[in-house]
Amino acid sequence: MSAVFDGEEMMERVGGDRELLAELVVLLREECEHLLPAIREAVENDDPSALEQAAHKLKGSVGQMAAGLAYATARQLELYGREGLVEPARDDVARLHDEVGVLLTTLEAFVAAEVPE
Amino acid sequence: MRILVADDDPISRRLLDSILKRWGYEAEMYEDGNEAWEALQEPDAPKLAILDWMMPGMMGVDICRRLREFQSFYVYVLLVTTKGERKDMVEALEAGADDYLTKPFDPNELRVRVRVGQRILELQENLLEVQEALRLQATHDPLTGLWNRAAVLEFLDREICRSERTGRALSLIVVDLDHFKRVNDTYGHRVGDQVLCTATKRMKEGLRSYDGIGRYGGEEFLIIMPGCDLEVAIRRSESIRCLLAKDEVESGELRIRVTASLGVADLGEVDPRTAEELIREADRALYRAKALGRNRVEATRSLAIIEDGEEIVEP
Repeated sequence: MSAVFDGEEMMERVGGDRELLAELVVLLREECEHLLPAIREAVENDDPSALEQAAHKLKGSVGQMAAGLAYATARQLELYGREGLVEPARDDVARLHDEVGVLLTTLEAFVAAEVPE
Repeated sequence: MRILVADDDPISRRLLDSILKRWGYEAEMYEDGNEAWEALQEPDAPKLAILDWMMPGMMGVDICRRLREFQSFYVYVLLVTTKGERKDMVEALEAGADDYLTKPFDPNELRVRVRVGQRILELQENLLEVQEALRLQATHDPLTGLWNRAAVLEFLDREICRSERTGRALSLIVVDLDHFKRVNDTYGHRVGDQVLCTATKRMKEGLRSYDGIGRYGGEEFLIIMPGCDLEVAIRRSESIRCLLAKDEVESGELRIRVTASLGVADLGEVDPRTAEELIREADRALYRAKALGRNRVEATRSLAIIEDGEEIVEP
């Protein structure tokens, strides 16, 4: 998983159900809306345990959406947290924000796209 | 089949709910480990659980450990987690998980793993059914469905111990169908079997739920009455005798009169207070009932019961 989002894999995961996929995208946006600030806050407060927990949860969510890039970054942040390293995580936090932003836009566009007959 | 799913990630929950329903399962969703653990305590809890490793409240791996420690019935556990290292898999299996799956999961892999769980649970259910059938077979008389000799004697031993401990009365009745050999010889064993079954049904009508009854021999039965002293046991024996004799047994065109002789003994009257001695005393009373003309109740010692001025058992 190294792409922003693997549409083929995701469609297989939802059994071709686009309505379900649309529902999952809404859930993902809601999750990101509180997990991204939680990750940022953990780094700002120098709290590796909170970083590990929030990054772990986000990793699970984006992982289920076949989002390779965001998954890899969230995983890295989780590892930093587990090892008690907050400082090196700063760059990855910024990158995760960008990647999740692009992921959500891509997913919403994918869901909104007309299905070829 | 019902499956319990516990995962704090709403996306995983929704996805699992949809996938499991698509495959024909009924999914019960929980987002917290404590809630899932409580649900698994219910007697009708799902027997297959898909648990996330990391959750608020109790973690999936801890639920596993507790299930294996405390649960009386088996729950097949599939641990799902974003962890994927070999040591996690070992920890999960050591904690009592039956299988392990990493997130993001492949639906096809999930499907086959759930099927494995279902197959194992079905095998277990079959084994329990066979075990129960064997237990019934080993303790019950196949014709009448009553306890067999060994089981009714075991019950008698238990009740004697209880009676010794609590000081409560205990009585034993030996019931023997009168002239049963003649029924078999005249009408054949099929009719004889029918008489035994009808007699069983009639005797059970005269028992309380905590009385014990078993087939002791061919046409001989033991009835154990906890809490009944000799006087009460004689009264109740008399009503059982009446239940047995009140109507003829019908078998096709045949109408067969069935009566029984009953011998009653009270644990308080025998020495030593053992099952053997109690049965011996009840047997003696039974022989007396036979000798005195059958279709009657006799007890270890003669007892006059006067009710409303009327003597119902000869002293």
